[in-house]
Amino acid sequence: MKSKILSLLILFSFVAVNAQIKKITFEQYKLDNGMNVILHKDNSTPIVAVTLLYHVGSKNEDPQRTGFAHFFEHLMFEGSKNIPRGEFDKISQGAGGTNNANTNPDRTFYYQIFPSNQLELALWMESDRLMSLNIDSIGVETQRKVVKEERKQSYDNRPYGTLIEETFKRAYKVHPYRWTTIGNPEDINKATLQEFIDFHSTYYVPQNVTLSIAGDIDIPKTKELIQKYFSEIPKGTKEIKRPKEVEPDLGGEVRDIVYDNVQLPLVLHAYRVPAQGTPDSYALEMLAKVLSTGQSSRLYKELVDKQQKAVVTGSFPYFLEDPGLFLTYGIANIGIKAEDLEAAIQTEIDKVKKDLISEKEFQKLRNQKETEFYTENSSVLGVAENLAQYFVYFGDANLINTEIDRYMKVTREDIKRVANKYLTKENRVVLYYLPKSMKPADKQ
Amino acid sequence: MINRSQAPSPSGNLDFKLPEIKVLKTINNFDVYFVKKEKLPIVFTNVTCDAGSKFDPIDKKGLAYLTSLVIDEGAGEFNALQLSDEFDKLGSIFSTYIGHDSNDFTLLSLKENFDYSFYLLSKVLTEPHLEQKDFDREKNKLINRILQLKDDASFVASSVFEKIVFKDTFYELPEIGLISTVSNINLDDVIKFYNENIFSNHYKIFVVGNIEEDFLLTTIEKYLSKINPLQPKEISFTKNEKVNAKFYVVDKKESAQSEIIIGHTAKPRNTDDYYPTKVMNAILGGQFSSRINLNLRENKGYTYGASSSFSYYKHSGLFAVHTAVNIENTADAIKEIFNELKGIQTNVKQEEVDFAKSYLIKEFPSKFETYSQVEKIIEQLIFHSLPLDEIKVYQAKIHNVKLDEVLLAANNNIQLDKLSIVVVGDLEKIIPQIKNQFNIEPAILDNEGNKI
Repeated sequence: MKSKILSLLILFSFVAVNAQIKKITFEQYKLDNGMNVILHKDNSTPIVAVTLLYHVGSKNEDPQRTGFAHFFEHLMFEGSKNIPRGEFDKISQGAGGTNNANTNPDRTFYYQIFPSNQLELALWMESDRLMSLNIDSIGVETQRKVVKEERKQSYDNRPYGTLIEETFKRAYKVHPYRWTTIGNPEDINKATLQEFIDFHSTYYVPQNVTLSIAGDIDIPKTKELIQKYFSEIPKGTKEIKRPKEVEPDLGGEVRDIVYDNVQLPLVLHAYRVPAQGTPDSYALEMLAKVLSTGQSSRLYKELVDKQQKAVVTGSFPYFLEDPGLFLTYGIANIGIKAEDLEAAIQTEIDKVKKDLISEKEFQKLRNQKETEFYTENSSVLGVAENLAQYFVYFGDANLINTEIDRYMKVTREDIKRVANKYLTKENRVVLYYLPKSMKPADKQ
Repeated sequence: MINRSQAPSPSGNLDFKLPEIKVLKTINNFDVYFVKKEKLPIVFTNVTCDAGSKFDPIDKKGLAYLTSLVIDEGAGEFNALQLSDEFDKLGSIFSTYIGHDSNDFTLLSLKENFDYSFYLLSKVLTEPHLEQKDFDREKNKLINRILQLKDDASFVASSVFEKIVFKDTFYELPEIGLISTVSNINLDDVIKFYNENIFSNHYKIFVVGNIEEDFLLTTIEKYLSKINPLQPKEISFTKNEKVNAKFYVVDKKESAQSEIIIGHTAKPRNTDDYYPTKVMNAILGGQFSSRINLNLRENKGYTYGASSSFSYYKHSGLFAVHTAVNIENTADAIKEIFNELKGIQTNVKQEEVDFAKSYLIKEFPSKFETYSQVEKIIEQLIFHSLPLDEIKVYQAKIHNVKLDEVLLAANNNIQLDKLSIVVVGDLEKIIPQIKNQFNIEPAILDNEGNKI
C-alpha cells in the first residue's frame, strides 16, 4: 500500500501535466516560389538540423510503378549539377555532418545535422539537388541493386519482416496504401530513365517541399541564406497528383495465414480507422496506450505476465494522411496455439469495449503522454521534423505546442466509444504468421 | 542566378562548451557524476554496477540477465504489477540493461517526479522480492525470447562470431544465455547472484538533468544511504591465443541474404593507439563514405550497407566487419572485404586521413545534444578508467594523428592471419562459392556455434 503522502505527490504530478510544457517557438513563411520555411532557434548545442519534407510518398505512385518514391530517395544521393556522383556524403561527412532520409506512404523526409557554422553548406547541398539532380542510368542501375538488398535485409530476411506489407495488401483494395513503400522490385526494373526524370520534375518542386531548420541559428541570417539558395528555383508546372480513392468498408473480416521462417506464431488484428488528426484518432492513440504502453498495460500485464501466452504484445495506431489502421498483435509463447493467443487478445479488447478504464489508469496515460512529448522533442532533428509534419499534414506547425491539448481532452468515455466503434470483427484483418513447418502438405 | 560551383565555407568558429561534469560523493561513498542540463524539465539517471554476465557460471549463462528481469518484479511494498504501475503512473521509464561487464538501471523521469521515481528505483536495488512465481514467469519469457532470436540472422551471426573469437573466456556466450544454460538456473541462483553482485555493489550513479545538485545528492542519500558498498569483485581475463581462425557457415535455409561477420579480438579501449585506430577505421568502414561501404554497396551493389567497427568490452576489444549481402555474391563480397583489409595496411592517402579527422573533429559537438548522449559519454569514460578530461583533449588527439600512425594502427590492429569468418545463410548456395573462390572447406556450425 502506498502512503497518503505518496498519493498526494502523484496527484500533484497529474495536475502539473501540461502546465510545465515549455513552448517551442518558431517562425514560418513562404518563398515566392511556394516553398514553405519553418525556423526554430535553439542555441543549447552548436548544431543545426536542416530538413526537407517532400510531400510525396508511395501513395502518389502509379500502381504499375510501386516503390518509386522510395527509390527516388536513393537517387537523391547520386549527385547533382555541382556535386559529382559519390560526393554528397563525402562533403557532408567532411564537414562533420550526418545525413539520411526515409520514405513512408505520405512523404519523403531528408535531413542533415551539421555543426552550426556549416548551415550554408547544407543549404547549398539541398538546393542543388532540388533544382538540378543528376538522374542517369549509372545511378539508377546502382540503386536498383542496393534497393533489392534493402528489401531482403529489411523485409524478406527478417522474422515477421513482411508483416506490414501482408497486412496492408489485405486491408486495402482500392487505395494506394495497398502497397508498401519498398514496392515491387519488378516495377523499378521496368521503369525508364524518363519516368524518373518526370517524377523529379513533378514532385521535387518548391511548392511541394517544406524546409524546416532547428538549432543554433541566427534567424535573420538564416532567412538571407534561404533566400539566396532557394528563391531562384522555379516553381513546378506539372500537376501534383494526390490520390482521391476512398477505400470502401472492408465488408467483413479478412482472415489469412502467412507461413514464414519463424519459430513462434504471431497473431495480428488490423482494424481500419480514420486519418491522423481526426477527433477519434486521439482517443484511439490513448486506447493503444491503455493496451500496450509499459509493463502495467493491459495486454502486457494479462498476456505476458499473468497468462504467459505471449512473449511479446503490442498495439499501435498506424495513422496516415488518409484513413489508416489500428494494430494489435502478440507473439505466442512456446506451445501456445495462435488461436488461444487470439482469444486472449480478444478478451482484452472486449474488456475495454465493455467497461470504462479506471480513473487511475486514465491519469497514467496523461503523464506518459507528457514524457513522450519531451522525448520526441529532445533533439533539434525531432523538433524540425515535427514542425514540418504538423504543417504539411494539418496546416498548423503550432500543433507541436497545442496538440497535447487534444489528447488531454480525450475522456474515458471517448476511449470506450472508439473501441466499440472501430475494434469490431467486420472491420478487421486477422493475420497469423506460422512456422513453415506447420504448412499443410497440399500447400507446400 | 548565383554561382553555385563552389561549396560555401563555414561561417566562423563554433562556440562549443563541453558540459561541466560535477563529481559528487554520497555519505556512503558512491560516486555521482552529474551534469546539469536545463533545456527540458526531465532527468536521465543511470545507476550502474559491475554485475554483468561475466560473473555467470558457464553452465548457467544468462543468470545476470535473468536476475535483471526478476529484480523489478516486485520490490519493497509493491508487488510486480504495482511496481510497474507506479513507474507508468509517473510517466517515468525504468529499464535494466545487461552487458558482459556491467548492469545498468536507467530512469527517465519528469523533473517533478524525480524524487518518487528514484525512490522506486532504490526499492528495486535494495528490496527486490525475488519470488518463485515471478522467477518462473521471467525464466519462461527468457527461454521464449532466446528461441525467438534464433530466427534473427544478425543475432545468430554475432553470437556465433563471439563464441569463436572469445572461446574459453567469459565473453564467449551471449549475455542472454542459451536455452540449455538458462534451463539450469533456479531461484536460489538468482538470489545468490543478487546478494553477491548487486546488493551492496559499489554503484556509480550518472545523472544528467534539470535538477539542483543539492536536491540530487539529498535524494540519492535519502534512499540509498543504508547500503554499505563492498569493493568491486576482481575478475581476470585471459585472452585465448589459440582461436581457430577460418571459415564458418551456419545454415539458414531459404535465407534471402548471407549475413557476414569477419574479424578478431582487439586491444582494450585504454590503449595508446586508440586515436590512430579510430581514424583508420573511419577510413576503412566506420562511415557511410568509408571504403568498405563504397565498394560493397555503391560500386558492387551487393548490399544495403557494410561497416567495420572496433568495439570495447572492459577487458578486450573486438574488431569486426559486418554486412548482409545478396546470397549469390557471398564469396565475392568476402573477397572484396579481404582486399579492403589488405589495402588499408599498405595504401592510405593523406587526403583520406585529413577527411576522416575532419569528420571526427567536427561531428564531436553533436554527441552532446541529448540527455542520454551526455550520460553515455561520461559513463564510458568511467567504465574504461579514463580521466574525465579525456573529452577536453579528444579533438586535439584526433587532430594530431599522422598518416604513418594510421598505417601502423592498421597493421597492428588488423591481423589478416587471425580473421574468423562467419556466414549465416543458405548453406547449399554458400559452400560451393567459398570452395570455388578460396579453395577452403568451411566448418559447419549450428545456430549456437557448435560443430555439426
